[in-house]
Amino acid sequence: MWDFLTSQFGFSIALAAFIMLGVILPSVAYCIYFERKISAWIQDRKGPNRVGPLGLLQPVADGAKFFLKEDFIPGHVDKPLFLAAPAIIFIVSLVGFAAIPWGGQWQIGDKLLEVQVARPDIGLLYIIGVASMAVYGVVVGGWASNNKFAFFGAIRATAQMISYEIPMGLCILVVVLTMGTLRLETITSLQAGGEYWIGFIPQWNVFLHPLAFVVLFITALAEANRMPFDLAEAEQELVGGYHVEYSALKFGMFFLAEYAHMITGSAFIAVLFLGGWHFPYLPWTQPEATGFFAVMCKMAVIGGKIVAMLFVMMWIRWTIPRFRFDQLMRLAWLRLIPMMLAMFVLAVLLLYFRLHRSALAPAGNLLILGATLWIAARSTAPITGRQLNMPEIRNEPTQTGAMPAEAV
Amino acid sequence: MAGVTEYVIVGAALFALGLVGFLSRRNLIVMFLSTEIMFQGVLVNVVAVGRLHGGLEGQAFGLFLLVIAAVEAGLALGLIVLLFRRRGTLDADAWSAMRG
Amino acid sequence: MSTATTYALYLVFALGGAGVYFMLPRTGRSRVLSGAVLASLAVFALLAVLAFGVIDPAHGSGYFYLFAVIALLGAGRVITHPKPTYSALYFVLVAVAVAALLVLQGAEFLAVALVIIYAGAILITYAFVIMLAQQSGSPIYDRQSREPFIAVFAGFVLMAAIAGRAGELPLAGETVDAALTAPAALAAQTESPANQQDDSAQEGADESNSLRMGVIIMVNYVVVVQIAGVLLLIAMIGAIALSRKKVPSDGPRAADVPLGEIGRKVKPY
Repeated sequence: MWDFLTSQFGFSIALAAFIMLGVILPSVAYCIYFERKISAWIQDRKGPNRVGPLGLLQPVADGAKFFLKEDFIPGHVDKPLFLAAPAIIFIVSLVGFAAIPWGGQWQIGDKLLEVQVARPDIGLLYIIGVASMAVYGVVVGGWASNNKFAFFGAIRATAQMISYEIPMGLCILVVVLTMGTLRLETITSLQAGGEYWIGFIPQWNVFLHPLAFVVLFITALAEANRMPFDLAEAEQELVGGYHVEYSALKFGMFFLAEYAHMITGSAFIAVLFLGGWHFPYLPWTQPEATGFFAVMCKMAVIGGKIVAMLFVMMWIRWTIPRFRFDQLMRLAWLRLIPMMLAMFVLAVLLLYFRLHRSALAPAGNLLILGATLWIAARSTAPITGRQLNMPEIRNEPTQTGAMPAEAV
Repeated sequence: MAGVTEYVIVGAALFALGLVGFLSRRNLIVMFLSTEIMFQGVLVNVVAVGRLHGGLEGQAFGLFLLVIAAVEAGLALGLIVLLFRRRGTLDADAWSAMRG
Repeated sequence: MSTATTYALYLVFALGGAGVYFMLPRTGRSRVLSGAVLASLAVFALLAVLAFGVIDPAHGSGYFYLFAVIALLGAGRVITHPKPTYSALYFVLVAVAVAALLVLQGAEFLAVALVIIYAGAILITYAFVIMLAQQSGSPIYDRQSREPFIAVFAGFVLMAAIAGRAGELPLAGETVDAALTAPAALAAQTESPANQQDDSAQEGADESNSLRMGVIIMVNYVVVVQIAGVLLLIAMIGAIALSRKKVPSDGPRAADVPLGEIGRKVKPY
């Protein structure tokens, strides 16, 4: 038994079970608690504080409630697909974890184990592929509900997810060009090793391509249907979007899948841009450290990065209002995609001249961001049709390059 | 790694199923789905036969095949949407007046 | 492949053809269940014939049978299901199973590309169009197939022809695999940007399928890549031109309409 557990295969299975059941599912449940606490903090309320100390048992009570409610299936739905949709969305949001490198290597006796469930050659593409399947849960759920609101939500979600996959892919391509590999563990160890830039900056990709990091974060929000992009479930317009007809545990699965998506996306971004399990100056999180304590440290570090990103996502949710649908599409197609295409050309040029790890990369990022903002500020196209009706802010096309004074 | 013949036969079976679907179904979209199934069969075959020649040419060819499939899907869907707007039905027989 | 195996294959194809014939949608008494039984029997018989007559037991893999079953049954459901939405979703299953078959053949990059392109992009747009066009129920043209017997017969003849010829392919895995490792040398000697990266990036990536694919595509077939790009561009323009709505030329312009009317009576664009 011990031999099996310390072989890579057995260890992968044990790790998968531990990560899924011991880490992801509880943390998904507690994400909801923290979401409510953070929203309360932002809105100057107290938040859940009745069940257990500080309301810490609230997720348990919520879970029990999900189990005990009546599991109602409306008569007009397409039953097989209606039942399949929550399963699809939940499974898809969980399998992406298999390729995430959680803690480098672990030395047990004379064996060196990878703390990673699967190490495919194409780990990065695997995660993109899994992420691209996520839309099926939404579409199938929306269509099978046989309800206009749900169907609108599904259509919105499809268009949104397909659109935001393109800038996401371009961001990832920038990383691939810089790192020269599709293996997530190699990407992590490349960021972890080496000298510090200017003496103290670790070689994380976020310092090389900050713009790609920000855009990837935005697209991760859109892919998870999170707040500024949660048009698929917009309560005010669509009641609840694609999960209107769902109740009890099936609704709970949709609900939990959203948080599982957020965690997957955060872990992915942490590996690509924030150095994964690496933390500067901490000897236990360097690639050479392989002891038990080092592995625990590394898992704590990547966990901390994920939690930090989750916090920013929740913060954004309770701060920024929802986009309108045409604004959402405009943001993807007219701003993010051209910007990321420019980033892609920049990365190719830098790679061609062997400067892909120099200070020219962040400088080029800033240049592209500045150019995009400049073009956006000069753009005279009306954002909405209504704008044309408002004489005081009517945008006249400018003859010269300068902005008219009254339009500023 | 496995042999070649069984993959060729499975690919051929997929291709034939696609052919049957294309010939017998009347819904335009299902007909195009059937052609996509034929593409899948061809893909399995191309990769399997490519292994006989020892290189990755088969896989490279498969990748270009995917490009063709994407092109075909884009144009086909555009055409289907156009046809659907004209007649309000996806029935292929609605267009049999063009039979000449 | 022996002659007996070939004839066994013909028999299996005939069985499968009968199954598909019964499963194809038709008006009148439904024979889907018996068709489904026949077709599943045919698929399992096919795998049995492959297992005993074709596959070299030393190189066989249980995963092949698993994913072949999923792919074939899924494909059968795509072409026989009366609801097009289900067809599209079964097709996703087929695409994933075919991707797994490609992984078994060592084509990992192609497999993931297949999943991303097919399942992630093409199929979802198909599903989109189907759901927009037919929100529920299935009209007569989905419940009735056109000349099912002739179609099945044509498919059967095609299968039999291919399977008859497939017997002439080499059987063994060894010769194939020995040749398969050769391109790694090509990848190592070819000058490419990815090859001149940091040494640590090269470790372990050297023999990877994606690196070799990259070298082959970007060195040997770079012109084809260009042509493929041009083709995609043309298709994009074509699709936009095809699906563009007619722009209303007359009617009130948005700027001339009183406040609040836009979006209610006048379209914003």
